[in-house]
Amino acid sequence: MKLRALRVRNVGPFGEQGCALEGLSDGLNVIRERNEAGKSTLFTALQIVLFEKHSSTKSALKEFRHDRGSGAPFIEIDLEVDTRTYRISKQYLSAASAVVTDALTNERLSEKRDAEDWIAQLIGGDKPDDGPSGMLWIRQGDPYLQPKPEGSAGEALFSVLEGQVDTVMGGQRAARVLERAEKRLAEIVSTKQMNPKGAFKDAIGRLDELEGERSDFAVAVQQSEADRERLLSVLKERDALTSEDDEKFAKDLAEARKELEAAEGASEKIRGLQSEVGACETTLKAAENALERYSSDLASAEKLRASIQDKQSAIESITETIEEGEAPLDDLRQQAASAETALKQARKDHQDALSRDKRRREIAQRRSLTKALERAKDLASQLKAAEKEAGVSLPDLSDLEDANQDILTFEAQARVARPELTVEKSNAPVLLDGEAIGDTGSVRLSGKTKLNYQDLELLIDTPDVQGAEEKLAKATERLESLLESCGAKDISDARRLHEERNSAQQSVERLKNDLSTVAPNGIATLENELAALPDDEEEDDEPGDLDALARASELSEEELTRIVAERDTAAEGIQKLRNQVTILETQIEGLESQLSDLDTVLGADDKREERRTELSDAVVEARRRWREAEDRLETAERDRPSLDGAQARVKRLEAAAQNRSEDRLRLSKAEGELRGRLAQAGQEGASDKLAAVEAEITRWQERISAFEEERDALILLVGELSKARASRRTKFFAPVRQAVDPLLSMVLGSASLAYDDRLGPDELERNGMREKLTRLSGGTREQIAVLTRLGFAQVMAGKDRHIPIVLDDALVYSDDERIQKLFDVINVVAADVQIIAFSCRQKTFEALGGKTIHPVDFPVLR
Amino acid sequence: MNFRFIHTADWQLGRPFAQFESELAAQLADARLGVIERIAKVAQDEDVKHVLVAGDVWDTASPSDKLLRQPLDRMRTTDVANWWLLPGNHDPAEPHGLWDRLHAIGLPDNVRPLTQATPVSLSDNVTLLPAPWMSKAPGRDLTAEFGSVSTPPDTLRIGLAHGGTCSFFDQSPQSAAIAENRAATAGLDYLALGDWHGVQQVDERTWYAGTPEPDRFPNNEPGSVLVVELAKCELPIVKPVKTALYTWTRDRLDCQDGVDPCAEATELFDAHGPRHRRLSRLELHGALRLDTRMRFLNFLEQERQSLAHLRLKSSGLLSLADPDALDEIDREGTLRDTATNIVAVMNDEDRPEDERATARRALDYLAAFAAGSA
Repeated sequence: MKLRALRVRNVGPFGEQGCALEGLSDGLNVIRERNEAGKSTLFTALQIVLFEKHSSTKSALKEFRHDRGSGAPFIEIDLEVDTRTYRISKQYLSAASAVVTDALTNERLSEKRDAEDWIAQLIGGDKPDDGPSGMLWIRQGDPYLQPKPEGSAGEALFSVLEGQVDTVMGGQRAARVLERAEKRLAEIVSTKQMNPKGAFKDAIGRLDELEGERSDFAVAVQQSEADRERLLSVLKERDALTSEDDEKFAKDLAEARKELEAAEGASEKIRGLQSEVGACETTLKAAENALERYSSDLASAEKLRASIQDKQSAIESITETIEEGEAPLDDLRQQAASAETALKQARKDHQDALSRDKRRREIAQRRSLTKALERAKDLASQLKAAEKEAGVSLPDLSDLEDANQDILTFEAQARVARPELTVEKSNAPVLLDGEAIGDTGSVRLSGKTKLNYQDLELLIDTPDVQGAEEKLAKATERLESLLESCGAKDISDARRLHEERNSAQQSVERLKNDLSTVAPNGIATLENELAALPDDEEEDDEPGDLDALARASELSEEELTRIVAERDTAAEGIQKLRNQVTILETQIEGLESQLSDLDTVLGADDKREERRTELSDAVVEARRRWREAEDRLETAERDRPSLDGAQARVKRLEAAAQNRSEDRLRLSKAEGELRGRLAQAGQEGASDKLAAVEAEITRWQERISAFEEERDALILLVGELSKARASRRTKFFAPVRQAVDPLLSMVLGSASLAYDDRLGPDELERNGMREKLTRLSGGTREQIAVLTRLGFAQVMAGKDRHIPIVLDDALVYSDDERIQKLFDVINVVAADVQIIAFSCRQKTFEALGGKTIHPVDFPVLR
Repeated sequence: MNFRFIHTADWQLGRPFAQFESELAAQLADARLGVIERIAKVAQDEDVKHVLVAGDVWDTASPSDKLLRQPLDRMRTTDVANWWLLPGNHDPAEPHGLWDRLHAIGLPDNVRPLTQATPVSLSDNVTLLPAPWMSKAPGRDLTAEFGSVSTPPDTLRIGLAHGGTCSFFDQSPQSAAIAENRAATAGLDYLALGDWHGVQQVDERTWYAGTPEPDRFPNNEPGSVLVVELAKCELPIVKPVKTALYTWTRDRLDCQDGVDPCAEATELFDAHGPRHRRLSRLELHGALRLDTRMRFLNFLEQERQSLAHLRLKSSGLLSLADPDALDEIDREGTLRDTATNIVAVMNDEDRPEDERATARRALDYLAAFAAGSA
């Protein structure tokens, strides 16, 4: 089936004049018009004439009528089918009609309803989306809606691919079986992870609960068994505590207590013996002390007597020594008196000599001071004169020199200001300001002076003579004033005066130095020192040898000192001896007192030995008694039973008895508790429950196994069903894939399209990745939609089922590069399939190629 | 003089049945406790006064007080002269254990616990030699002392013991296995044994009575007591008497194509008393066409409702997945492809059995879903 022409009138923007597309080719036909040129109207008209019965009064038809005309919408197409061209003409809304004629012969083939049936049979459907024609169209506005080969459209496509569609595909039964299997599977496991759910999950949960209960009951049963074992142990332990043992323990304890009493009695006896031994020991020590003290006193008395005797002998010896030393001492005393007299004389002689020597030195000093005073006074007089001369007041010499220098300077300046004109030789008068000067005369010039000489007249203009002369005058006046102030006649005189004054000043300094040497403390001091000296000018005799006199005095003093020292030493030695005698006498007195006391204690001499014997016998007796007591104590201690052992034994047996009593209580308590727990366990019947739980666990395990078996079987079934469907689909859709995939690859690169059971494009595979179409970009989806239709049309064309592809402003989302590739594909397919493309994108679609169809007016009515 | 008594064992009172739904579990527990009255009825019918219970009266060594008291009360109210109860491996007479608790509770006059291995006179010239378990692992043949017990020449000697015979167990030093010729070596007129839950004769004087009310699915004829009649110098006369309320069966059905499995199952279920007291563990084997197999399994699911319990093991029942059978799923297309692939897994003998079993189940589901989607 190929569309050869489309004509409309009274539709959309087309009024009575109408519009027509004529001469559509077998291949690609392109209608490129601006917006609102009526392309979509033509597209819609093609849909209406194929799918809308002429008798239809749908509102869409009314809206489709030309808005400014009253004529009935009229649509006509020429279709070529199997080399014959049919013309379908339909008028809607008023005087509706449908006619199929032979376009070549104008033979009317069918009318009205027959014509509609003929059309429906031709296109394979009577709805806009129905039939292969509808499937292969792309309307403006939904360019990327994928083709859905459903209903008659699908059947047409499938019938092209295979004969019995349902048989080949496994029919809807396979889908229903799969659905039921998946539904059942979904009831017991989760969809993705296949985790148990529903009753399956409940069974597992119940099994877990039971496992927990089993664990609890098992613990309870084990506890009960342990309690029973423990009870056995307790009873065995209790039975071991026999009464025979109790009696034996009691008997042993009684015996132990008796032994303890005996041991305690023995201890008491020993303590008495220990006291007796202590008393004997005390008595013995007292006797020994008394004997020892008496013996000691006797010895002391003897020692005292011996000591007194010794000291008396010493006194006698010392007394003899004192008497021997008295005569030498008297002799030394006399020698000392003589030496003392000699010393006094020597000292007097020396003193007299010293007095004479002092007077002689004072006279010499007076003479020296007198001369110094005279010299000082002379120097003072010279100094006074020099100071007068040095004190003359003179102007500063530098001022004089400056003033003199100023005069010289100003004189030089004055000379320059008044140049001297000297006439050395003239043959004619030289006139200055009209006055002639001599032939050889000399004139100083100043200011402006006119000089005339013969014919020569010069005007000489000199500098300011007046200023220089004034300065000179002032300098001269100042110098004179200075000279006058110092009485000098001129500068040389002034210089001389300054030199004389300076010489005088130097003399003053020298004289001052001399005076300070002669009278360092001044002339008055010299005069005072002189006045302090006696006026006696007469000298005494020679004072003699002062050193010899001093030496004689010293020797006398040394002799005296030596003698006095010997005398004192001798006197001191005698005194010491006397002191010793005194000490010894005092000691003897003390010793005699002690001896007297001891004699009193010791008694009479004739009784002392008797007394000592008595005391010695007492000691012997006390020692004997002490030894006897010691022997008795030792015997008692040796024979004494062990108190500690007896106490420990009693304590041990008492503790053992106590332990047995406590053990009985403890075991009785434990028995009670264990029996109570066992009774409780019996009431609770933990073992019954454990057995019941274990049985129930078996039941649930079987149930879970059944679920697992069902799950595994359903998973296998679903998997096999899916595999079988996929395998069938792959085989069945192979022609479509062979047609579509190359087209896809031309645009998208290496790509393949997967389809659902109804040949609806489902997934795109590129680079080994599969993507759902719904996740692709709009542009790619649009391209796939177009390419798939092109492929479908190619498949059908390959089976001599030519169906035109109509594209109304498709490819709106495709970029420039892709659209060019799509144009290539369209041209490829157009070799087999008629393609009618509407587009408002005149420039872009210019590159599409194909045959450009220009709408023309509706032809003149035939 | 003839002496008649009832030999029973392995009551295992208190045994839980929680592997079943709670309602059935309660019924089974009640039936187990009610066996006392049923044995008493047998005693009455057979005119015997002594019931010898050869161990495992209770299921655990520490049952609840309620579980101790209720059987005692039931025994007390019967006409049985003496219930002689022997501790077994489940309820050994450990000190301060179950049996001491019984004494503490207070035993009825006609309940005679045998917690000592000392001869007991049942009647004139009838001596009972008990071999009670005093612990869970005695580690020796407790009947070994029977031979050393002397009795007057005319006395009937009855041994009462619990445990497997040497043919059941290995001969390890710790084994409590009973010598199989104990009756002969100990001069016993009869050796009443417990532990084996079905009726079994060991020799002409040695018997296992089995449990009077079954509690599992072994094929060992449980659910009876033995009425024994002894006479000096004669072999014992042993008569099993049914006491079980519920029938537990371990059934097997070998299916084959062309034979209606439903009819076979019906016959099987009807074979052992009323269905509402029937607990069946049914294993299916053989192979059926896929559609027959599905129909049969559906049938069993319906039959399950009439039974006290049906535990079905169908993994041994294979599907005959020939092309005709698979045509039932679909002649071609996806479903057929799927079925073919699953059958390939089923028939792949290199695969583990669990994978092949999973494939069989998957094919069952496929067939079921496909049938529902036609």
